[in-house]
Amino acid sequence: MTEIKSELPGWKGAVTRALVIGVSNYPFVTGPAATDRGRDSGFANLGCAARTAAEVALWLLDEHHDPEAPLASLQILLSPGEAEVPAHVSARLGNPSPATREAAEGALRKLFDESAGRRDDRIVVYVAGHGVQVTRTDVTLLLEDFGAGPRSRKLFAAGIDMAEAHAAFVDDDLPRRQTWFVDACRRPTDATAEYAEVQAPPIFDLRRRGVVDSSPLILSASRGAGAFGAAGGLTFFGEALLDGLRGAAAAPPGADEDGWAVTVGSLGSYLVKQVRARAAARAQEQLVDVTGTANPAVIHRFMTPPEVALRVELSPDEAHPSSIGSLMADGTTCVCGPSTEWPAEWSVAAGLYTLNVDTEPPYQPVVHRPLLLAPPSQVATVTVGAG
Amino acid sequence: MAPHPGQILGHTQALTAVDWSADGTRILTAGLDGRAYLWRADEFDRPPVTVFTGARPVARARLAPDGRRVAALVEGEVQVWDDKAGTALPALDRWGDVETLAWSPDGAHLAVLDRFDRVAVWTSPPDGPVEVVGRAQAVAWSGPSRLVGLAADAALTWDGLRNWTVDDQATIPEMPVDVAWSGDGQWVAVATSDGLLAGPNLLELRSVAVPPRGSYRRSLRLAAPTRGPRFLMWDPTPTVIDLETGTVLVQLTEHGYRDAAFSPDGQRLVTCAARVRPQPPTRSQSPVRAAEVRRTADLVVEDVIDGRWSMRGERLGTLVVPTEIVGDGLRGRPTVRLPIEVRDASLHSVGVSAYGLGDNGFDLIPGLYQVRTLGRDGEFRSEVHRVVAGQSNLRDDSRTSGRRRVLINVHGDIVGRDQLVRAASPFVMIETLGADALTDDSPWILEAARSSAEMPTALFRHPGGLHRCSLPIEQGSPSAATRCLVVSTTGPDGGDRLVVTAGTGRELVGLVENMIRAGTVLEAPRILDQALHLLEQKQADPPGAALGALCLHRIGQLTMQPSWVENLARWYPWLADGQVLLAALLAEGVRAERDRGLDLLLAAARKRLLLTDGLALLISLLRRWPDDFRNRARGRALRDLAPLLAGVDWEAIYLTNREGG
Repeated sequence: MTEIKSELPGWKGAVTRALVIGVSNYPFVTGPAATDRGRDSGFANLGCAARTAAEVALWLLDEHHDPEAPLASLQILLSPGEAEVPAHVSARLGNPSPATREAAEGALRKLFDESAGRRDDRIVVYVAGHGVQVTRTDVTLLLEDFGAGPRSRKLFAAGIDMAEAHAAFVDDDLPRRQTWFVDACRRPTDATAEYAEVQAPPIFDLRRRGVVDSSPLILSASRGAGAFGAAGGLTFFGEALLDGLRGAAAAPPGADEDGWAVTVGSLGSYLVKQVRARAAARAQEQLVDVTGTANPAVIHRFMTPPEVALRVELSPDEAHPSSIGSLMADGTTCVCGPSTEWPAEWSVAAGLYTLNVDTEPPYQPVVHRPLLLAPPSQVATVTVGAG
Repeated sequence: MAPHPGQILGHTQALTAVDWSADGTRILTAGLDGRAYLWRADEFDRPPVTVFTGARPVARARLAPDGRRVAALVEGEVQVWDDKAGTALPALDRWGDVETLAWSPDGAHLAVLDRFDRVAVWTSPPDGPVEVVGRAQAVAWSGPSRLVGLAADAALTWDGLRNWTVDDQATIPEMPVDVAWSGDGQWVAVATSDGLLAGPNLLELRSVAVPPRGSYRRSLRLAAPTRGPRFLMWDPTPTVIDLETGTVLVQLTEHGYRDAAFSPDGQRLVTCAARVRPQPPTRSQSPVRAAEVRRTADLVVEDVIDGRWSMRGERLGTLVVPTEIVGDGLRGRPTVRLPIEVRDASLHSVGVSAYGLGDNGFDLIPGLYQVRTLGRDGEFRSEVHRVVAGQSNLRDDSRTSGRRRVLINVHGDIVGRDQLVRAASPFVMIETLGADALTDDSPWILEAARSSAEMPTALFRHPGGLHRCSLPIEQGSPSAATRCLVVSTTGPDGGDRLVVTAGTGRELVGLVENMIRAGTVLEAPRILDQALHLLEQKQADPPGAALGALCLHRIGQLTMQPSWVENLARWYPWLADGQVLLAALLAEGVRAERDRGLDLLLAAARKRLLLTDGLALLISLLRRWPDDFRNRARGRALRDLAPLLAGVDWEAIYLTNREGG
């Protein structure tokens, strides 16, 4: 098991503990070590699960910001395909151990034990790999040693029932705020007869239940590898998740809050829409589901309002030489421009602005056109009609 | 308590108290919004000079003679506000019903009288001590340090040095209700259960004829100016009387007044009334009128305190956002008002309204604002508005723009009635159970059959196989849930799909469906919760209520009482989703409850469910029941469900599956 601990000198408050698992390589399913039952399962290696998990781990290490609960530890298990995770990334992550069932169970138990009695802490769990999904909200993650061992071994012995693990952490002794992500490439649906038998060995005792404030289980389920992600890139879900965490899912402060943040609500809604749209753009289908306890809670805070990449396109082209654009705050303060370059491209903090385009006859200027700029980017098209 | 920068000045709820400063330059207003303001008495077109801000409603308030402190009754606590935080009266037993707050003329003491006739004097508030001095039915200051109390048979005085002492000389009218001295000590008036007495002192009281004004003697109250013979009688509408001549100078006829106070010279009167509840302007209303100064004859009626102001002294404008209502509200059918959020140019939230009546008005500093609203299609929308000082933004088109009727929603897209095109469908309906088809092609309109004990379903033939849909209709019931729609559509992957929806006339259920499809449940769970409660209360739509309940349960936000879920399971046995939901609740109970829950679960597993979420919950419970017993029965149930699970369209809200491989 690989664990990276953050240095938090003098910090005695709540902390965040994270666990990231990514499995792309299934040696017992395909390749020289493959077993008959592994080959017969219909699975194949994935091209981007481990890479995506590595990127999520890097985000946690380098970008995650929760002033109330800074990251204290990150456990990482990766089973990448060949050259899937760049060497320098792997080194940065401490050359993570393979994501076997034993390692994953150990990591979950360690997370459980270290979080015991620390109600104010936070937990973040992200897993990616093949999954066997019984319902939309019920998925078993398959680990690297899936298919290994004798035929007498249960097929899903090398899996982790993520719904069960998530449910086990709903405990009166564990952190009140948790966030779980399951980014799964769903098993092909032809082997339906085994649905009733899909049962990874349990890890925890579910009779010990409790209450937490917020513990969403955000599941992505793709129908086959094509909808999961492009080899060499990130999973569609992981790509959207990281975009969302970096600002695209940021929500402005509510009435009683100070700053921008990614919340359970804003991230969940963003992922539902984005993942569906991104998969549909590739003629694929992928669904995101949220279950668990999805009460309002902050996942990631921003120290300043996120930046928005604004592109202003002016038409007609003939008006470009004589037009000057500027972006105003409060109707009086110029925050971007004046610019004579078209299209104008500016980076500005999210918010409400007005756009002015001064021009010469025969074109009519645009005065105080309101713009709502929300992260991450926006395109505004302005026409200066001939008078 | 100091206001925070950028705070909006002006009352947001009804006024309860007004007062005039001793020097006549300031007017105090206080209200149920927990705020108190000092306004310039002669410069009413300017923002208030001082503000005291609390969080709880103010029931009464009186301004100290120094014009810097305010005594306020806040939810039973007597507080004194100065430039710092308010200080509550130190705990006294049951001081919840204070009838009188009276500052001494020099501002050194505050007298408090409660409905149990107890009198306390607070010296040098807010920092000084409080002393309970005795009992009286009415109190007033007759001099800087002389508090006079009237009891049924005696007048009592407290002079700041000794305890409550009996004034043997005074003539005490029977049943005194209130007493008031003019500020110069030259006049005293006593209200009794029989009428009004007045004179230069308590020994020379004589009856004053006043017009009969109802039977509110017990609530008759008095107020006096700093000097002169004009007194305000209050029974309960204000009447100004010149005691010297016995003349009624002003008699306000409207009802609902809550407080009034004289200017020190007795020439003007400031009043507040429930009827002038501050509200944002609409097209038919003038701007806010929080309080009025009235003069008649030499007391001339005059409007004041008009409009609202920012801390920076900017005149505010009003942003009015029409409330979107879902549900027709006819014949008692429920409606839901969709939430509205207003954000400033930095996108900081400055106002939220989810359940307000009528249009939602926000008084705002001039500038740009984002209005974020949840539409009936389940999507959030944003508009940018410019707020102009002293103006309202209301436009007729904004009132109707969001009211496009949404008929159906397929694979996440909203389709209006005009876009619903009958196209050749690869599906052919070949069978219905518990329902009758009113159309023979997509969109199929299905109506509940008169009675059936089974979940209504429709079976369709497709070149790829048979597809069965559960139908959200209630059989043999007068509820709204009599019809639903099934539409043939194409998914983003090119596959043919059936989409079931509650259809027209069931707007609340349509809202729930749309919020689920749009993924906005996480951002507006309260709306879904409210819709669910309304559906349940009215028993208007059991399938819709089950849909909302399961959706909220899935994200841990179901707030319904267990008894409601019990009723859902009992009253609608054909709706097995309710039994699954009840089993989920029982799974967290004691052993006997868990046993019952498992029985319910195994029984539900033998029935067709309405909702895909219901099936997901059923499977999850069968797989992870907390007790390690009856495992064979659970395993058998799971095996029996395997063929169904293999063909389920997990994206569908209502259970839809391929049949027969």
